[in-house]
Amino acid sequence: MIQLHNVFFVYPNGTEALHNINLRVEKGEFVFLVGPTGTGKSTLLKLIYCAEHPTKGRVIVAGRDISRLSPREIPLLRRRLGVVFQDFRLLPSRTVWENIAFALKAIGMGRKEICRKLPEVLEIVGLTDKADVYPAQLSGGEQQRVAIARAIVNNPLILLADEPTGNLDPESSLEIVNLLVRINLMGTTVITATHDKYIVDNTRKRVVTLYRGRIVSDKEKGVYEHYAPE
Amino acid sequence: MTRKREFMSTMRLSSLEFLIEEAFKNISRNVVISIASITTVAFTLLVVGILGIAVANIEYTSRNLPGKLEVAVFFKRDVALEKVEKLAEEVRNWEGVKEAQVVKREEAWRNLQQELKREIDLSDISNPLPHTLRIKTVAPEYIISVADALRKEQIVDEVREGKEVAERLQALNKIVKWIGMIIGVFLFVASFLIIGNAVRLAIYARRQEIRIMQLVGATNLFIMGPFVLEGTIYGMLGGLLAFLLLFLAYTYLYNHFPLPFLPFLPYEGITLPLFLLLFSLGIFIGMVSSFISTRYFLGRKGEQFD
Repeated sequence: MIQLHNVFFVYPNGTEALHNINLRVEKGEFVFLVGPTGTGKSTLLKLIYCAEHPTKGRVIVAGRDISRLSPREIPLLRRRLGVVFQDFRLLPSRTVWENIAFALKAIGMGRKEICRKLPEVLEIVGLTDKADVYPAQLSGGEQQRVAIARAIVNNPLILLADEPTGNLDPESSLEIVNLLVRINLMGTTVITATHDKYIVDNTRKRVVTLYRGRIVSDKEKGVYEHYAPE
Repeated sequence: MTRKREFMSTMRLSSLEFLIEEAFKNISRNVVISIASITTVAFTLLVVGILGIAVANIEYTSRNLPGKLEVAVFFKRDVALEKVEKLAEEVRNWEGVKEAQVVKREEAWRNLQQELKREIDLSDISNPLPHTLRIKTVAPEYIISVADALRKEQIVDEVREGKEVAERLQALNKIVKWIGMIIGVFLFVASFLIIGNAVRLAIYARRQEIRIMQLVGATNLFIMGPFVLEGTIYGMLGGLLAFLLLFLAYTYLYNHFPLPFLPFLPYEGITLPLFLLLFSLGIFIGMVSSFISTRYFLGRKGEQFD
């Protein structure tokens, strides 16, 4: 589903964010991408949703080389991905329903289909009774669930989560991860970038550890290990 | 096949709905900015319209100054009538000449005698008058060039034209056009900047929306649509406002201040061209400026997701 071959990424200011990354994620996998902040986790996700192009190397998503995807094709790729962030990125002036519907309207979907899809996804994230509530009236965990609903409402192949629990207490964090696992069980490939040891250790999934832009370990059913080079 | 077509058409319809909905949301969200944009465009186009009306009126007036826009050519005494008629034939083909009428010296003499018969008896004097040619031009700006060209003719003794009037009107026309151009350019730039700025503020206010749209895979055109529509609506309303103000002012002046020596162009004649001019200019300003600023802000890389 996702392959990175000898990927390097250097920011315009000269900082090297990723160094010779080789990674393969199969369809239906659940992967934690861990490591201290500023180690290249977000950059790696950005390469997958095409917010950045690799400086060197190839990125293949769903069988397509997207390393040099043209600006016109990027939207079509993104329609097959869902992305959630630490800061939720909800629109404060719109209700839960409107927030999720907005993502579908923005890709030209008709009202009928939106009305068919929304109840399903609200059910999945457990917010059916909060459809008409504004984000400010929700807890952090609930806001993140709205963001997840928005990310998965168009049935993406891949869900990318960039520090999804960074702003949440441990209990809500675990709830969010459990939701991500449930979505994964429904067939979506999930990659979660995090430095939250608690959720990683409690989930027991594949753990890929990054350190200063390099992959330093890759373990099935792993735990969060602090990597300290000699 | 039909199902697919149906799907496509509902998609288009919902896109259109989204476009209009979002554009009007922008406009109503920033009422002050919207009003500022509309009035700027209106002001610009008002000035454009006033200048346009002024030019149209000057041209109308000069075309209708009765009899004054004539060139009178007096030939040398010994010139034969055939030569005069030959020249008249030539002159009729010149650019800007409406008519050229030969007045024979006998005819002119008879007219003069007729005119003066109560005052003096001229019957025993031999005819002192030359042949003359009376030329009318289609527009005042031709008078001077026609007169100057005729002065170069060997057989011509003297040329008289309604020079002062023609020159003044021509100068006035030129000045109005120049002032119009200069003010027009300044105001155009101003309204471009102000609409562009309004759209930029709208984009800034909605950067979260834009970010999300980009993230979920909305195409750039789809994202730009509402903003461009917003700018176009500002331009359109500005054009409409300018037209209404001008129309009311002009009809009022036309009906209440008839100037006997300066005939106003009747407003029926200018209503439609004025409307078309202002309306289309308004749309043009709005569309282009908002397109440029939207393009500029969406095209900047790197600020999409940080």
